[in-house]
Amino acid sequence: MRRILGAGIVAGVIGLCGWLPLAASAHGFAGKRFFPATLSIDDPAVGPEVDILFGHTKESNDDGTPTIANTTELEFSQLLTPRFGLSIGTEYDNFLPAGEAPQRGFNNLELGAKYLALVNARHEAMISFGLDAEFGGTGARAVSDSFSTISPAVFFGKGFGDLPASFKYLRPVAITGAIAPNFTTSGAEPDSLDWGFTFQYNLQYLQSFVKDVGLSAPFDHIIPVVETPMSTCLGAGCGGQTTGTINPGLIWFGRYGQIGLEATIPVNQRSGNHVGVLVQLHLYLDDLFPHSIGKPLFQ
Amino acid sequence: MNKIHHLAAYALLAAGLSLAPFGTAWSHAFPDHESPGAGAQLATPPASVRIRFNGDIEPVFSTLRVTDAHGRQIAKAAAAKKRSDPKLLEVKLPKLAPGSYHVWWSVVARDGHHTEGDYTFTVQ
Repeated sequence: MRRILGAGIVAGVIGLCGWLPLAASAHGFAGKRFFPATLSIDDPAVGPEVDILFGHTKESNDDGTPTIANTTELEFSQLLTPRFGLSIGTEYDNFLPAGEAPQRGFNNLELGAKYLALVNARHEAMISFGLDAEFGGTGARAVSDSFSTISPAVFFGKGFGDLPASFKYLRPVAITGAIAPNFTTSGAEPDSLDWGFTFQYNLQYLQSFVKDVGLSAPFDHIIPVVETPMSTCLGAGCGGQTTGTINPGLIWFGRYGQIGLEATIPVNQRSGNHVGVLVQLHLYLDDLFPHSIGKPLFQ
Repeated sequence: MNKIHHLAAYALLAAGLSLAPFGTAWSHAFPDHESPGAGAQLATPPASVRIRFNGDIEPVFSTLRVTDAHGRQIAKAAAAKKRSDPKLLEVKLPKLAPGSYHVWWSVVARDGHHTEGDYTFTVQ
């Protein structure tokens, strides 16, 4: 029963919020620039959304045993105001260590808050601030930490649509990034710093605003992307050690949501030896339910 | 038992989603087709600029205008007219001299979501 707690809470919030009288909003736009919800690094926008992310990779567990890791992340976000949102999420883990019993269950419950501090349409720029909390002990013991983690974060995004005409084919490029220190509540567990960037080339931007290159659906709504999620240990025993992956992939966005596919390539031996895969299904609740759950609670 | 837990979790999620009221959805409007297209080099001046969107737009809150290379307005779409095609934004053009022209559009979808964009084309 404990294992279904996370999804139950997510489902309950989704269902209950569907009946609340809410007001209007939008997602991920700075002028004509659209910032999609990237798979590994949170984008700078705030919005009502449901994100489901499937992950598959092979890694070594704490004992060094080769382990197949299948994960399913669930996150639901809702706007309180047009610029301030809350999120709730968890992750279902299914670890299959070679020659050992599987370890399965929901990971810890996570709550987040995010404030969109700046949107500059002319320069296609966006900055937001967030605070995430993972509550230790709320997940299954086999897969989750017993301690909690608090993570303040800064997110940014910048599109290059303001480049001069001589660089017009670089105008569809956008960069987003995030920096988030993780403070643990356990003295035995080191703090860390999550950081990373995404590099995007928006084919819809190219086709509609720069040069009609003859793309049609579905190719005119594809964004090739490379994400670089990294984590640097800040503890005494591991200070400066960095792990992470380089994730090349594609995001396709439609009117009501997006789907994404990325490979995860470890950047060093410490980060793993195997290429994994991420698959995303992301729903824009402000487009799906513009008159109810997709609106902020307060205007 | 784990499979049962797994299935139960997804069943709960599906049930939660099903509780959300599914009203009519229109979403953000993006261009499906632009004529002339972005970056076009035209031997013959176009008679109009037509942008078809992937969703219905509100004509009262949607604009389309064309400026020349000096920023002077050449044409602007009239608003609030009842149209046969709720996805189309169009403006008639006077005969254009050779030069570069800039198209600016701003639309509001039927659900109130705003999108905007601009691009250039050239008459040779």
